[in-house]
Amino acid sequence: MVKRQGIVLEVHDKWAIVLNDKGQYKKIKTARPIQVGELWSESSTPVWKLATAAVIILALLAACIDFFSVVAYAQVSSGVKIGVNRWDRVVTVEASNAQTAAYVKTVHLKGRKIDEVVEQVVNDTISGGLNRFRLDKPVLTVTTTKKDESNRQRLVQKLNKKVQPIVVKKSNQFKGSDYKSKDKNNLPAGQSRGDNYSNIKSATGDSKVKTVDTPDQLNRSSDNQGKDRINELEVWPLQSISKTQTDNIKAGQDKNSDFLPSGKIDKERLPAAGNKPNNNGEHSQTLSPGQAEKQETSPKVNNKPGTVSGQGKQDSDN
Amino acid sequence: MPYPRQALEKRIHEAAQSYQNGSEHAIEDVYNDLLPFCLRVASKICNRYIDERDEEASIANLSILESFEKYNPERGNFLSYLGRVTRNRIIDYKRREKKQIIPFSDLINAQNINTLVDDTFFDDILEELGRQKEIDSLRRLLNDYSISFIDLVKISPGQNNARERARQVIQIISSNLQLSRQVLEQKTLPAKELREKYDISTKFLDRYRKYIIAGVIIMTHDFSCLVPYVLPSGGKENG
Repeated sequence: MVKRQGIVLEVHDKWAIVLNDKGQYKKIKTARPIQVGELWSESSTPVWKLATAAVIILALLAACIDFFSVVAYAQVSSGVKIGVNRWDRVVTVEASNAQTAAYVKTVHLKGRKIDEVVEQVVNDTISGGLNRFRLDKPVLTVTTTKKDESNRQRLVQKLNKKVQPIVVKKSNQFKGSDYKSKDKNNLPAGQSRGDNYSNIKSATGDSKVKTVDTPDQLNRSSDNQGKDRINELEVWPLQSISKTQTDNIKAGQDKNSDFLPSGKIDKERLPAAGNKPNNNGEHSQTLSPGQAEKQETSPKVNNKPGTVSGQGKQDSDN
Repeated sequence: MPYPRQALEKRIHEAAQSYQNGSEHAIEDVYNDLLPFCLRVASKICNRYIDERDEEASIANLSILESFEKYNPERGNFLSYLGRVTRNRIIDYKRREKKQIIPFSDLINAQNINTLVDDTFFDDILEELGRQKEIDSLRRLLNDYSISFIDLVKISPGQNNARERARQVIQIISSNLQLSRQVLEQKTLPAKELREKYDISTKFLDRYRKYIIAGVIIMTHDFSCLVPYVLPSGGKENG
């Protein structure tokens, strides 16, 4: 910075008046005794500029710290754990097994919006098929680092909009199922139905999951018939579970990953009764005794379609 | 108007010869010119403002007498000799003071005492005294127009463009005898002529009236140390 020079015109106790080389009459503070007629040089860096620069740097630092602060986690059942900041941006991505670790390295997830990332991860890492969707294993679990119920509910609702169609779509992708649709007469020729299981269980135990229609029929949401079918679906990709169940699920994820590629379908892992059509052509889910027990111990959640609950707890590990 | 060093040197030579010849009143002719110089030297050494009521002022008085008694024209000019004598006496006084009280400021400013000085040190002081005289003259002239340095601080143009334009107006007026005469005698700016010939708005002249008048006074009275500060950036006067 160019130093300004000038002449001292008037001197007082702790200040003086100078005329600088720009022709400006200025009032300055004097740190040392000066006298009229002395040559004066301006300090190289004004204090206010240093102060402004310091404030800007601190503000940027605080913004960076805040951006990288994780306020919630979204854990996909395939083993991908996604940390989210207050602006719903992904800041951390962790993998719990080797397969998901390899997947995480191939995709760019950080910095993107959580709903896009969850949609991509669920789409890429969760395969369709009856054996993949287990009622005691949710596709996605949302936890918050602080007790912030509103933020958790908001995240759950936001992610549910993305995950639910994917789950439904994947559940219909399984071919070779012997299920019959409610409106089997409307099925296009040669088209088979995918599995109709949701990937979550209802926390209240009301696990009556009915037939999932074919994707084309499911998309007819404009008419009442389509709406009725969606309402009957009652798919909740997300659920609220306790910490113990979270740990159990996490341990299970590490051992038995849902990560692609799909392997040999193990029909023995299916729920005992499977889906059997009732007299009305609707399908209901009959759970095994073990599954029913687990459901009874689950905390109650809101069963309204389209609403989800996430898990809010003080996750000390995060 | 630079510090009249040559004229002062001549008077001092004459006074010194008279004093050494026995005329004790010879010093009175130049005393009022020499005392500010000695006080300024003492102020530089002590790094604080010294006036006539301080102890150092009495030491400066004694230094003047001593210089007149011992000065030899063959050793150089009188003012440099007077400056060295004053500085040495002040240093001796400070060292005697240190035995009793050691102010922290003295320890910080010890370099002023311990470092050797050459003639440029005293030349700088003389230049400062010359500038001080010009500034005192300017203050008296501005008082006739009811203008103070505080007023100039308040109305000084903050923007570079406005300040540059005001400096151009100062140069226009000071280079035109008729316009400068109107400013100095009538104490008003020739707004009509400036608007018609140079397209300078009346509003601009009203806003920076005091600033322009002060600049015209500096230019017309040839305050050499201040003229470079009021000229536009593009042109500088010679001399």
